[in-house]
Amino acid sequence: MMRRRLLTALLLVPVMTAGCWDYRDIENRTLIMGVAIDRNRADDGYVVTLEIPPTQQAQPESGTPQGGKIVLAASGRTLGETMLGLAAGRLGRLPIWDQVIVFLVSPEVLEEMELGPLFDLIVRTTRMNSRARLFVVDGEAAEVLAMEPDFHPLASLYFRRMEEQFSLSPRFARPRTLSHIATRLAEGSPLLLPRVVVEDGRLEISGAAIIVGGEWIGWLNAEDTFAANWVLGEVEQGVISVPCPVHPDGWMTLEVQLADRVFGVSWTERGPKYDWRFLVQAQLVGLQKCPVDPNDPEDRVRIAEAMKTSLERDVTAILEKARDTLGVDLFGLSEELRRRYPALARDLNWEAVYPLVEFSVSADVRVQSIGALKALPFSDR
Amino acid sequence: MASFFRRLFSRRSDDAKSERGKRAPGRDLLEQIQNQFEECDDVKIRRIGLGTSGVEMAIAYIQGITDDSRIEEFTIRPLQAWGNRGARLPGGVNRLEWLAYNVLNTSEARVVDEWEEVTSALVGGDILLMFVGEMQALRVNNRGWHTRGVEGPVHEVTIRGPRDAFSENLYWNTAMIRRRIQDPSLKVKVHTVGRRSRTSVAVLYVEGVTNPGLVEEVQRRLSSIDTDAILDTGYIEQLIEDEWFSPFPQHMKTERPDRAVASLLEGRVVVIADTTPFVLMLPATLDSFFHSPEDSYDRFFPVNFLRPIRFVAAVMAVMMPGLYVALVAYHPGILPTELALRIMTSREGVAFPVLVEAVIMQFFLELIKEAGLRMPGPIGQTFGIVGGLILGEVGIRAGIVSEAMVLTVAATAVASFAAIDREMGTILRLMGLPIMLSAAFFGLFGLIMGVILVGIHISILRSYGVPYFAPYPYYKWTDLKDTIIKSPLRGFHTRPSYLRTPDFVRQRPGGRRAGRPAKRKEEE
Repeated sequence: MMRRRLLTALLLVPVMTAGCWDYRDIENRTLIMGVAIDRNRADDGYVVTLEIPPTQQAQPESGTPQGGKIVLAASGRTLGETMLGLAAGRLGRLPIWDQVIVFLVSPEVLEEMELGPLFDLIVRTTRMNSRARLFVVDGEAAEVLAMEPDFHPLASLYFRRMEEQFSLSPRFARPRTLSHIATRLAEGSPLLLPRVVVEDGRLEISGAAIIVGGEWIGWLNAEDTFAANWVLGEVEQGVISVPCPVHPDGWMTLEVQLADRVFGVSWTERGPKYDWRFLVQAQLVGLQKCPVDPNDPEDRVRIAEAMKTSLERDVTAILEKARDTLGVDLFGLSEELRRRYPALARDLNWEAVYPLVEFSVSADVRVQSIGALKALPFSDR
Repeated sequence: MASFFRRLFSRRSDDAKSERGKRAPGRDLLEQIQNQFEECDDVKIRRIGLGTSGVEMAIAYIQGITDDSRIEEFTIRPLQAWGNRGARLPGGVNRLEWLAYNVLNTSEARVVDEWEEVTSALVGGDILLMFVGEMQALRVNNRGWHTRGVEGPVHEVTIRGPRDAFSENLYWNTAMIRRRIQDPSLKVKVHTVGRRSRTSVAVLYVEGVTNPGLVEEVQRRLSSIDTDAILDTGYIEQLIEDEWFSPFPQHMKTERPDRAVASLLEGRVVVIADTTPFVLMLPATLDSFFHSPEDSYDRFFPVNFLRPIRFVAAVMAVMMPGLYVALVAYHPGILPTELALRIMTSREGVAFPVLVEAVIMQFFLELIKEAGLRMPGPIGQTFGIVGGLILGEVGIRAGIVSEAMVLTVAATAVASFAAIDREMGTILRLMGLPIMLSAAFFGLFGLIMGVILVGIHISILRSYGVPYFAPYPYYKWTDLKDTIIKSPLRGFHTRPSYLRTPDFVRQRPGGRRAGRPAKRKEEE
């Protein structure tokens, strides 16, 4: 009898938690693919812009067709009012927030409202896709969403494809999901989010936005971001140009691949010392006024030395910039110290210690021979 | 109410039984037969005078189910020749028995005087030879009717394996099995079932391999059948199955002798009925409906790729319409974005909600299938293809169905046809309907709830005491050698333990004799 009651209860659960009142055919809904949030300075409110993919008959009354897609914007005094107003009053169809791919915010929004409360609001007002990626726009977020990038009918699809290309050229911060960002915010960790900018009418993802405590505090350019990605262990492969070791005006371009990364912390008399060691494999892919021969073992050593120097310099520079200029523990150094020396870190004043920390960066670069090819078609010498 | 009907029907059946045993009026047996078969123009009476002795005999038979030429050759001609020679019947002995022993050229003959036996013999295709004025007859075996020969299987076509199939003749069918199991342990017990049809039904099993309790139970259930006619094994199946309300078939059916033999050797019982080429194999398990005879003939590599596909197809047939409805109506967020967009675009302009659309498509699918089945072969195939294409294409243009729904229903149909057993495939496809309704009301929760309910039903269902879901949660791991995957034939060391066979071991480990194989003479 008990088992029957239990079974009946189990079967009734779905009846109570779901039901035909939720039934709505897919063509009566609309997919929201991208969301952009800007500040409306004039009304001291917010502007929310949605990117909606085209369907055969989807023509919301207030929607502005942008090529094949629909870009719908609404403004309101508060963010909640704006988003709910869009969904309820102007869209004409029930929005599917679960399919949102990209979430764009402008720095002004983050200045006004930190990322944490913004997330809270979004989750409360919509059932936003927690796998959506967040980008920070250097400019108007709505403008970015309204663009039609090459090869992609939707700006949001462009962002998704660009995310897949991160590992090929990590000169922007790795795009993160909303759920990942929410976790990092809860931990109080600083964040690097990809920066989006419109250059010459084209979309570009380059550099990173620095978020500390949910607040935007500045940008990192592409080179700094690349170096930061080395520190964070995000770089798997990439293309890097370094000065020529045998010609003052020459340049070499190498395709690099991270083979190993060792990161550790030790406690010295002067405080914590952080140590990064990189094992990198490199292949020469381009030369500009640089008479080196990758088939020559001695030249390969010179190339490796140049690459090593460049990498160590760039990585040390970004670490020092974070410590001295920004004063932000961008790379989770305090967390690493706490893991390694929990007793020591308990009574430690990190704010006081951080300016004193030392960095040691070493790279072991191995340049591959280009094989049997004697001619160097990429060389202009 | 139920007891009333039970009483009503039982009284009728008793009445029918007593009527059947009641002798027709008449002064002698011949007259009684004539009265009984009055207005039966196919019943023929042939009178014969035995030479100059003045003794008159009569032969009664039914045209069409007896062999006319054999009556002439082996009964009438010897009798007339014997009469013309002036021979006389001896006294003090049964004259019919004496004739059978000394005059007739027949293989099987015996004297009958019970009325029920007399009528049974006549309607069963035997001839009755009697002296006019007497109440006894000689029953002479002379069955002969036109029947289909041994042909290839129609429904269970395989690329590899025997090509013969059962026919409508009971003894041809038993002979096909005996030819494959040349072992005196193969037992064939023939029952007569059906008050009016008096259909011969054979129960086959291998003594020492099949559980005696199972054989006893089958025979008990067969003898408990009280109906007027058995026209196919389908009648038997429905009357002796464990759970009549279950949609799942509890007997396996086949038209292939090799499959029936494989079942017998596993320890199952085979039931063959006269006048039908479909034989029953029991007990059935859910798993066995997805095993093709070809699986045993092919090596295990391809089998282990193809057999799981059938199981996946079964799950698809059950779940696909419901899953589509649940995703489209409740959970579009979990679809890949591009797919959601495609479905959304294809649904634009469709006049009906997705549930109604699904029901309409399922209806038309069954319609095309049914209409195609009833048509002659080539026309049926053409009709199926053309009907499907036209209905799909025009349905989409008319805004009745969407492309995505056509694809879903077509995939469901194809998946259901992948089941080896036609009935099981149909059941799986139709099972998708209530699950789809559940999904339409409760989304994915409803879908899962429906699947769980079906799972519960399957888990408690039994066929002749064997769990329908065997061998998965119940038995030895060695029973898993022939389930969703199939081990190499060398691993078929034992018979399924859930059949509780007395002879559990089927072959030596590896399927070969111990020791090194003997060298051939040429090598020596």
